[in-house]
Amino acid sequence: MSKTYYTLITGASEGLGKAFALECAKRNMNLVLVALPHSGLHELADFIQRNFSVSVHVFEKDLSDPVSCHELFSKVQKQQLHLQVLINNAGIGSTISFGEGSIELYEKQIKLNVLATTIITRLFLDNLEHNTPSYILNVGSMASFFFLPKKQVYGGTKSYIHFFSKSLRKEVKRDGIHVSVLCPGGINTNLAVTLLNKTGTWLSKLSIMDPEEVAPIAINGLLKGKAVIVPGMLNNFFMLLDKLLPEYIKTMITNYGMKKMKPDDQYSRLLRKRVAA
Amino acid sequence: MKIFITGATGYIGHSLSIKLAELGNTVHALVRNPQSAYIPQHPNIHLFTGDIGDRSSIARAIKGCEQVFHVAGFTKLWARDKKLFYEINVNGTKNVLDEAYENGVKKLVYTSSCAVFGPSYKDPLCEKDPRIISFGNDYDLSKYICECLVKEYAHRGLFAIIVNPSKVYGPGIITHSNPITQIIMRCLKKQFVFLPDYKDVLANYAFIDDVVSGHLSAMQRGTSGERYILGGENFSYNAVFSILKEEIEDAKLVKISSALMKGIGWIELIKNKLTGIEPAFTPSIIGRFTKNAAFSSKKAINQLDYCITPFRVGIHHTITNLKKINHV
Repeated sequence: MSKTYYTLITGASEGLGKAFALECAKRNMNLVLVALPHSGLHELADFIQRNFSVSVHVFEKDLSDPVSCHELFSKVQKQQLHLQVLINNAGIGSTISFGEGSIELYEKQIKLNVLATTIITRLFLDNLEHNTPSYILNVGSMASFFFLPKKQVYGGTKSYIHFFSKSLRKEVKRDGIHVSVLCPGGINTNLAVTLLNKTGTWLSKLSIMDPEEVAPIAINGLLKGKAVIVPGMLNNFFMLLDKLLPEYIKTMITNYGMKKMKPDDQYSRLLRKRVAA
Repeated sequence: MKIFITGATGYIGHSLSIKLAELGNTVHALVRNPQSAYIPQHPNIHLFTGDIGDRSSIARAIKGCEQVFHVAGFTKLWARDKKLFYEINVNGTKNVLDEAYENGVKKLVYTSSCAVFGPSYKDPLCEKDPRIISFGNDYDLSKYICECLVKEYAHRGLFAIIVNPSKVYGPGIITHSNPITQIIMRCLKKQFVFLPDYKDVLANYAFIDDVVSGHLSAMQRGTSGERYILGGENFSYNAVFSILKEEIEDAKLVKISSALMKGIGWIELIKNKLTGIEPAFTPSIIGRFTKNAAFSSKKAINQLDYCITPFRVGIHHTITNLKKINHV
């Protein structure tokens, strides 16, 4: 009897995670979707089951709490689901001056972006090893290559993801597990970010991608076993420039790229109020 | 009953305000230009000159009204200044909501659009389905932000309901919001009509009378904070094409390949960049019509007793009406 394989996606209710879920469903991959409670995960699962012939499991928990990561693991084990692909996508982004950001934000960001990715990967490593060839896709960021102002903590967490992925890749390759790190530039992941992205300079606006453009590139790269996946022509061009240009010119470009970003745009503010309410 | 309405000179608002007036209500219509050719004419309709961008004009017109239909919006798909979508739709809606809230309005119905749902996959989309692709244009995004605002006010205690009409057609004033009627009109006048050849792409067509009744029953029976799709039947472009051919004798309908349409879209966009002339359509607008947009009105049918007029019947009715009015 052949096994039924699953793809586990964290942060699946919105943005890139949702695009991953839809892209995998299109490729007939069964899904375990994880996201915050009340984030529309059941609606997404229902939509996928109505439109595609795949099986979908749903788990609603805040993964910034390590206990939730363990609960996720026991649930998957209890249902004896065979994982072949793990996509560590859940993360908190931010564009904020260090002094303005709250300690709670940084704590949550580090717990979710760094700790949850580490714990979940560790917990599911055995499961993945039994279903080789299997795949781990960690969502990093181009911010791990460029030292952007207002992205100190975020960029730091993504640098960890980058390092973690490339290092782990060397270790588990012989076991048949392929590890890739996705390093996208700006993505219209949710409404507030989409509006924020509209306020940037022409250069930053030009490099913004939609999640549904990034997801297929990422999955193709993952299944091909690429170490680092940078989606988009312009982003790849930036990466090339990074290798060629002297440091002071790169600083000029990154400062220009971030200059007009206005997180206090009035519509974003309206929305943030709603989220807080 | 006294009812405040915005957008009374638009396609849906025009028919809706006349219906409300005919039912014996006193209608307070906020209009930018009282001399507009699209002013709904009825003794029960009182015009208030103003703009949803100007709160004091809303305050004057909304005074004493128990219900509000906020239908107005910037409905074009393209504008040189992208800010217009947000200034008119988002700020305008916020102004109307604020005034409704402060004046103790009992119920408000906000006219959104099926554009907020984006394309469908295999199954027709319903209200709770997720959007499967990002917002590709500012109109869709601005309407979505408006919905968020309406929900926020509903949460605060304003009784507010959202309705989402699909592609609306039927008798009434002819504006860019009513392209099917425009096409029929040209066919009846024996003019050539060029239609993109998208063959099997599905779209949803809602008859204006259904949409107007849907607004009334949403006001009567809708649940606050909820949204309701007010649609019609789902048809492929090919099916619509053949129905129009069957219903209108010697209609001069010409199909144009979608590749050619996209090419023209690019030329229009470049022409716009060079000359500033408003493009007839752009590649992104074409892109919108190349994806399925099938919707299910089940929720409105179950909860609002919404009725769908079959597309053929609606088209037939539209043709008869146009012939009568225009003597063609």
